Amino acid sequence: MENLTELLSRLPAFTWKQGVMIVIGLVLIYLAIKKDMEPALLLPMGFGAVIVNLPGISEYLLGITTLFKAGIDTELFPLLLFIGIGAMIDFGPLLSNPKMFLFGAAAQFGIFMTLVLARLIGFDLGDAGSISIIGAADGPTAIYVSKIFNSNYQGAIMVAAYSYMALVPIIQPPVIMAITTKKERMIRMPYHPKDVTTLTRVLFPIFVTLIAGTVAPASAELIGFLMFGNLIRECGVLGSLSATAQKELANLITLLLGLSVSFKMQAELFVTVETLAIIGLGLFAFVFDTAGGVLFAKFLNLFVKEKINPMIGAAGISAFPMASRVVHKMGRKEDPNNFLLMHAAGANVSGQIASVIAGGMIISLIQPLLK
Amino acid sequence: MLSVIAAISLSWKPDTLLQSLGMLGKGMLGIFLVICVIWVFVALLNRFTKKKEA
Repeated sequence: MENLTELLSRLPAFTWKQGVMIVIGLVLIYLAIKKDMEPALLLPMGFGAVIVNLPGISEYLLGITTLFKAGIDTELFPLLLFIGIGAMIDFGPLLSNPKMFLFGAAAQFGIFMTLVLARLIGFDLGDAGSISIIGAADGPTAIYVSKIFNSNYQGAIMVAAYSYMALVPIIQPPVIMAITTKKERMIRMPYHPKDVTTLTRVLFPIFVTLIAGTVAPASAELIGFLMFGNLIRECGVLGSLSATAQKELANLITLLLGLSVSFKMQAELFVTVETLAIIGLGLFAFVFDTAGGVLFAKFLNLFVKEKINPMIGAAGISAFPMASRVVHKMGRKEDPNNFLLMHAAGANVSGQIASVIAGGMIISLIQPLLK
Repeated sequence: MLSVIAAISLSWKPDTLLQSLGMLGKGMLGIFLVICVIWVFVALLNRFTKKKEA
């Protein structure tokens, strides 16, 4: 009995905060496996959260620390992941109907509204900028920006960004319903696809890199890697590499990214009042992104002859393909013969580009003020 | 709800409002500007690379 007491007294102290984090880790694992919510990311993140919060482990976290320093401190993982994402995206629906570009821009509104709110409630400029990027609905951009600003809340930002992306089908419908009428949701938009030549598909990623990188140099790498991935897809001579980038590369990097981010999910860093506020701000960002896109479409309808279904605006957030599916499904619910998917997909991939540009804008606007 | 309570418990900085609104304006304007340039480029590209009808 004495030996047992002595053994127990030698065990490292286990704090309630570590207990909370282990429960959060288990919840993430549950959501990944049982609810199929971003499993490639939430599973390693949840498991990593369990590991890094074991009592007395902090001095032995060599692997996860190394992964974090190599992959996130250097911004390598988000950039590599963007090659995979770029290879996955078919910009065809957008190139065939380029006016959809506008909705990608409008649906970044939540980012800047969140910046305003985060500053108001007391976050410093760098952290507020990092938190606002949750509204980009784009994990790699969120990691990249929060790393540039060296935010203390990277763990919370990542958890919020990826969780809300998976929750788009739950977050968006009530917001859309609240600001549109049934008549508006029933607006039909005939789809007249135009041929998009291979030359256009090949020149597009090169030009987007040139223009976005020139106007917002802070986003040059992000947009460049995204567009490079897309060039691999469209060039027609790297078929097997494109397939690898879309599957193996993207999956492996996502897995390592999840484990690395868990480094920032150590109890002392994560279980704070600020984390709760960040979770709330993330939701705020997604709500205002959606509202921004929808209201912009309604605004355009004041001037155009062929009315736009305002729900298309909600698809302008970067969460691909969830946002376009939500819009299509809501359209079919109001009118079973209304097919909005291709328009929504165009707005959705535009959101992918616009969210990266928004990340660059946030960096360009805030970084000079931090020096 | 917990998030709202957490936000309220942080320190309020109303003096940041003007600066943040300025960033909102500049940021959204910047995004629309870049997107519009890309839009014009794609429209031109589509026009010049259009296959001629037989």
